[in-house]
Amino acid sequence: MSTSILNQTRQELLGFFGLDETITQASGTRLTTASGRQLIDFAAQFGAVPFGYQPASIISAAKQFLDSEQPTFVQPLVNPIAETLAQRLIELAPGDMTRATLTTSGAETVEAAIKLVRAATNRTLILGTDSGFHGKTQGAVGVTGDPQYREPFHVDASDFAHVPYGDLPALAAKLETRQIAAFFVETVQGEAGMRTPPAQYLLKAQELCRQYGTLFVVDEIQTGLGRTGSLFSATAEGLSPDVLLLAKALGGGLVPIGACLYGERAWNRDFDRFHSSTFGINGFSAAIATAVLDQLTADNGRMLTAVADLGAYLRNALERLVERYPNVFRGVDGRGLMQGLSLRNWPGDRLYTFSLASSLGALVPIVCGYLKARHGVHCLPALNAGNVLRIQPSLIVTRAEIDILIEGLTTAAELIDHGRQHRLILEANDFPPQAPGFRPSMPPPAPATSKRRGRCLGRFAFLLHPTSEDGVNGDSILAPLELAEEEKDFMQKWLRRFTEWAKPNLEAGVTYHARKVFNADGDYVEGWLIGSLLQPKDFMRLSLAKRKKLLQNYVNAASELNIDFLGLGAYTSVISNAGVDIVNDAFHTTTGNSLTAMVGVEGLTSACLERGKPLAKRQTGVIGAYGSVGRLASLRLGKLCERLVLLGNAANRNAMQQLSWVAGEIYRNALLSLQAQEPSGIAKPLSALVPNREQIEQLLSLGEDEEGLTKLFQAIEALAAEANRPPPLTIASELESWLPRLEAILSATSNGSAFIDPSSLHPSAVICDCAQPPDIQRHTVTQRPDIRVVEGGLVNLPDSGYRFGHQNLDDMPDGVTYSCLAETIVLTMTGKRRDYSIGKRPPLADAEEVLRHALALGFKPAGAQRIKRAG
Amino acid sequence: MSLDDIIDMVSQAVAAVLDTDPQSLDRERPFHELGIDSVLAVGLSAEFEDTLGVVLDPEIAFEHDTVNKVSHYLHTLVNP
Ligand SMILES: Cc1ncc(COP(=O)(O)O)c(C=O)c1O
Repeated sequence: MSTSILNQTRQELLGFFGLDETITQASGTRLTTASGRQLIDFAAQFGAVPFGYQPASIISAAKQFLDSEQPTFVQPLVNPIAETLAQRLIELAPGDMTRATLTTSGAETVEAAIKLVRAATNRTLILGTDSGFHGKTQGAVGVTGDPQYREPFHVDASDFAHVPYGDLPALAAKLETRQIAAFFVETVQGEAGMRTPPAQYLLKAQELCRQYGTLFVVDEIQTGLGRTGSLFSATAEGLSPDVLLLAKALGGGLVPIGACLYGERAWNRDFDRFHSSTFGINGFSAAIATAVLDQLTADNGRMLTAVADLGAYLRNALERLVERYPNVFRGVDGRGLMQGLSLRNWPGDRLYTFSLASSLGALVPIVCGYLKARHGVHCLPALNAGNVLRIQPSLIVTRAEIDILIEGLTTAAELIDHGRQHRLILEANDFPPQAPGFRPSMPPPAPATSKRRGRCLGRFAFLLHPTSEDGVNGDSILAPLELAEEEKDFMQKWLRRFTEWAKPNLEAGVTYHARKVFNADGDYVEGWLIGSLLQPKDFMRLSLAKRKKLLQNYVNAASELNIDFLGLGAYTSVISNAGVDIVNDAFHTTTGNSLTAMVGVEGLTSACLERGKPLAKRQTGVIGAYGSVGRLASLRLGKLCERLVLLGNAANRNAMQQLSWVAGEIYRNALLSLQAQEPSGIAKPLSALVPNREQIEQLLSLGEDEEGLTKLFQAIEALAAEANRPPPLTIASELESWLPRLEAILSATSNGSAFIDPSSLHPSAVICDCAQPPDIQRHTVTQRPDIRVVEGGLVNLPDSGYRFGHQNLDDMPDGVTYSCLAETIVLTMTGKRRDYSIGKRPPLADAEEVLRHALALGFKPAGAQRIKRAG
Repeated sequence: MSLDDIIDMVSQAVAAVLDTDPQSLDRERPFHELGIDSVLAVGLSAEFEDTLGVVLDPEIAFEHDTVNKVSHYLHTLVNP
């Protein structure tokens, strides 16, 4: 299909879900696609097609008008058909309506009302609701709650305010200021997912408006003219609005027309004088709108009674569906033939992306794609409620057609209930359904209902993202879906396209709910993984503003979960200044860098021992020693090693300076241990250079700020030169010359790719790679069997079989996880009440404390487990 | 690509990550003073690679740390 000139982006979006269709014909409730398929229309153009397509009554009114020589556009002269329409409307409408303004769209009707009420009250502020939708033109979009429709367009909404729908105290608080010109409200919020208000809300709101001199505007653009089973939903609610707005159905599915109805309270001469629009008063549209009113009111409103019956039939069927599949559906809301079926988020047990799709609003479109392809039913999501399927057929829909929809929803629910959401995507794209009786060999993972009955020690969330495309659509990730080869190819492409499409939104959401993560005593914490679809290369290219937005989206997703601790995985830590930009009062935060560094050193130490030469006696080097992890590891290694090289990146102009601070810190710690007469590591060779107490005290008095640390480093360099000995610590940036000399290496850069060439390493070197993605090249193990590589970033959980869903982060073995996630869990388990591992220079004492807690809770360094991942 | 084109391209890339207007960038000011951190610098290098179709050291924005410096360097690279 060719690219739409009218809206490419929307067409692409429809394409992902198999919904990209060209409709060549439409009649009654049936749409005919370019390929000749027939679809039952359950969207009715958001309610603007009340009697189906080509309804006889409307067509005949149109023909009659065309044959009649009645005027279309004769403003400012009087147009009798339009006057008749206005008269009919004010007679039928609730409240004391006396006048009308005709428009050509819903949004324009809202625009007219905004001007009308401001002029009438001489007040500027317009109040809407957070979840309300009133259109997208410059003024209407201000009444609309969701700021995403304003922000890209620089629309200033300072003359608009919003309160939560259904919240009377919030409304009263705003109205009390006596500055609000009007309160705009829908009786059922269509685009918010067919949301109905609490009982009495609308009546009370009207009362409050009257009390404070605010005009009460009811937007019936979607609810009006039969949709809810009454001509006006406001009448059914017992309301008498000051202003009432209509559009959509008023045009009979044929012409664009809206009407703003109002009484004397709102009328003013300024509005009459200064508001008009060339196409506003249109004889043709008025003739059609009159025919719409005729049809709706014929036979004492027989059609309205039928709508109410059909609505009840539909609602009842939907409610039974919700009862039957409580894990699939959250509930149903709405009135008459505007019903919203709310779906539950999909779990990330099999695929994190499916869970994320729920946050990204993809879940309902996926179901719609399936319903279309498999059941010939055309449905759409609600605009502003990601997980609500809108069911809004034309008013002439039949029970048999509703039955077909319900059957389609039932088969979709069966698939979802069995964790086979991917079948919806495949079948939406014309893959055949599986044979009846197909039983997957891999049943969906049972929810963790462990028999162990420990206490819940707290709740955490952990931010993460795929570290490569494989993390989104790799073979092992897709394995549990049990796809045929062609299906797998398709799913891989689909996931890639979906990811690319979703990335610019910078959305983040829950990817996995870890109900119980146990410690060795059988107590547990509850947690959530929160993911985005961005990969490291995307993180690196985010502008500062986009970084901020992404972090905000991550934090927002976490804030809803009522957590004690938030952990920052991978690049979320890098782009937040090691957590500094995230720290807040709602929960405690950790980058997890402490445990990452400590576990790395543990891994290096034990690997050296296994290899017969302890760490203390090896020439040891830390690559990336001034990074958050590298620095902590260096400080710790300073207590263990007698010869240590701190390596930094030559390209970083401040490398030497930052390394000298770390070296100064290590010397300072060593001096303190000499003072306490407990020398170890660097303190041993240092004691030869600094033999007496006064000297130690004098060096310590240089202080521990950056300047003092630099001076301390220089002083010891000078002492070593004087004594003609090598200094215990070396700072350097020449990696190539140092690599062949290092017998033990800890590497912790955020380089983003492997850069250590195995061929240049010292014979039998031991190397611990704490970086993610790893710093050491893939072929190290085969190329240099003498080298021992341990992964620094990993730990074994106390529960050795535990997995964070099938995907288990980056396809980790059972019971293995990232140290930074482990630190988050440890801090949650121990009930810590402050932030940890934040910023460039977190204290070593904290890191050692976290390590102690981790070991006591049953966590263990997993160093050797995953050598295969290095690369 | 002419030096002017490269300076334009570099200014736009730098301005984009800083969310500022390319015209108002100080081309002589070191990147870190403009607010470019190491992650953004590596991202810039990747951006230049894509635009120019060359392979670059991820650290070039550290080594050539102003718009003018990095533009001159890239210019010599694409017009040897
Ligand atoms: C309640 C309500 N008001 C206003 C509008 C805006 O109407 P239009 O799309 O014709 O501008 C809509 C459209 O969905 C609506 O549902």
